[in-house]
Amino acid sequence: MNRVIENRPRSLKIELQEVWRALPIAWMLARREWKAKYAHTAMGLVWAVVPLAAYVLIYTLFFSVLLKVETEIPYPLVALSGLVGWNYFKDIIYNAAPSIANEGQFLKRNFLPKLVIPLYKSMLGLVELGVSMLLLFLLLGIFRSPLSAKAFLLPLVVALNFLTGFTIAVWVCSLSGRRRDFFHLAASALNVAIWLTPVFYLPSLIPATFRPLLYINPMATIVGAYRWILLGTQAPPLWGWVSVIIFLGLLLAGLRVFFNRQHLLVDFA
Amino acid sequence: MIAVDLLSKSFQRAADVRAGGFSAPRGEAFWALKNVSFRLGEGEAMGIIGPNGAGKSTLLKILAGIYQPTSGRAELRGRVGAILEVGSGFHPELTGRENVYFAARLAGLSRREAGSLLPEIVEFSELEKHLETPVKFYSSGMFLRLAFSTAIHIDCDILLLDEVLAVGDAAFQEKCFLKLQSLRKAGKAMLFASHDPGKLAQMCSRAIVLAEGQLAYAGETQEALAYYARHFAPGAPLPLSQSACLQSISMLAPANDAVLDASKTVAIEIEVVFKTGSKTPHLALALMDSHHNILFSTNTLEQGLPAGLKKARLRWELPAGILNSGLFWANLYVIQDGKLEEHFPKIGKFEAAPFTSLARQAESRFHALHIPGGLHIETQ
Repeated sequence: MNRVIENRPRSLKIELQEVWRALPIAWMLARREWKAKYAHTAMGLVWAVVPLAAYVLIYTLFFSVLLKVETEIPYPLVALSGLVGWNYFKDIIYNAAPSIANEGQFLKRNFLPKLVIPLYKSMLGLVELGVSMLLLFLLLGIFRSPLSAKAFLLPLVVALNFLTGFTIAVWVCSLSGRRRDFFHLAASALNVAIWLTPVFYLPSLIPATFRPLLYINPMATIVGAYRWILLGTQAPPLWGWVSVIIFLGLLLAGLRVFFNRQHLLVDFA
Repeated sequence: MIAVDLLSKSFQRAADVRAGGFSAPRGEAFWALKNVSFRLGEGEAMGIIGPNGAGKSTLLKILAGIYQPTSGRAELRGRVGAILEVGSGFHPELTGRENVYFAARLAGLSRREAGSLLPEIVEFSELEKHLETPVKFYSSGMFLRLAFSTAIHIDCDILLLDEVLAVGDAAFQEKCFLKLQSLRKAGKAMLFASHDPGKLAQMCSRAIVLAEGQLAYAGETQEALAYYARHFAPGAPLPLSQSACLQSISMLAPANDAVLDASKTVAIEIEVVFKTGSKTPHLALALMDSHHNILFSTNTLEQGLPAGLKKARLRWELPAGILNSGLFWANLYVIQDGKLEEHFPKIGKFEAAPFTSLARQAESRFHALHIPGGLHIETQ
């Protein structure tokens, strides 16, 4: 085994191969963080679902009971199906975007591909996603809304959900060297973006002329896709996937920038 | 096994990280390592010596793949194992067993390898009883023991060690040291940054001295240690103004930095001027080697010093041939009422020239003193 160490950028392929080989490490890092997080609670995973259930209740109260927003499917299902994907997206940005800066001490003392850190941080939200999904299935049962075969597309939608969040996380990591303003920008933007994404409402609430603008946001398509495969609502328009594809391109570019800057980022972390 | 060529690393240190705005000063490039080159062969152990901030850890971290060099090149042949900061990969909330397993996987072992190594690691650390306890409940000694045991059992061809021998109690340190020696004998190449000259001398045949990121000296361990002691020895003598009873101390012989022939009598001569009106104290004179061990001392308690003394000259004669080659310091102490009141370390420094005899050269590698004695050899 020969290793040459020098200051020369390596190809995206070699970098990605190294990350691929380190995937078990990412998985172990994620697992140990889950263990540490839920080990000290009496109710364990129940805590993953409590905030979500509270959200669904309060939004149902305001939108459905007080404001009487008309939806073609029961409102709790609208809110929950929107929150499942959105919360995972938000979780990725909160955990993974500042991860290189936060885990600098670990990275300065242990040898592993640097991308493993944002990668495993992006996996952390999967537990909550899974538990929320169980709650959603429970609600589907209560409202007697049967699942169709489209539900088998769920892993694909989760993967796209992950990639969309990961794109932003990788870019924020790459741009957070000496200055960390981009994380604050991303965190602030999330508060606005939740209303630009059909999380608490259905796209039909938006006037038809403005509706196309909604799909500039890839999360609008992904939230729509969750509802399409699980609740049987109308599929997001085909051209809504353009923004998702653009994001996948941005991810590749972001990875290139990340690999070029990774050592500098750790120096500043 | 390791070939390092003109390796350099600079850090962009922000001048003031708190300074806001878009045009905050960038801060100067700080060269933690500059143009360092060396070679290390199979089964060779090399020490890295240097004051804090000299670049020792940076060098090891580059070789471990953690930092990328700014320029230069290093080539490593074989599996690299690094014990840089023991326990840095441990998670406080997880049990000892989980942490050992994780650390082994992080070091590149497969699931099976990590599993089969566990019993060996646990036995070495002697922590069987605490294996299922989260490591946050460990004492700091236990924590380091487990972390070091884990790191040392991961098989590799090149071992990078940063200041790792101060782990646990004396017995465990000895055990670690023996383990490292057996690894070296098994043919592993080792790079060894340490401040413990005694251990370095026993472990490594060669050493390099780093200073401000640059290679200041490369050579045999003893010579490198002497070089380091000469140039970076800590501790200037205490300012005499703080002394209650001494006005001045001057070392008359040997002259500072003199190189003596230790096969002849070595005479250490100092002159002490007392402050007027102070109670005349007793004095002690000690000789220290380059590892900062005090070798032996003498004092005025037997003969005594007359009261109201103004000035005294002490001449301490060491028998011919008892010093091995190396660097020596003289220390002076003030004794009042049977208690050590004041310390004046390193009032003078001299060197004993290398001996021509092979036996004495070999001895110098181990210790600074020679005791003539009867080694009887029976041959069959």
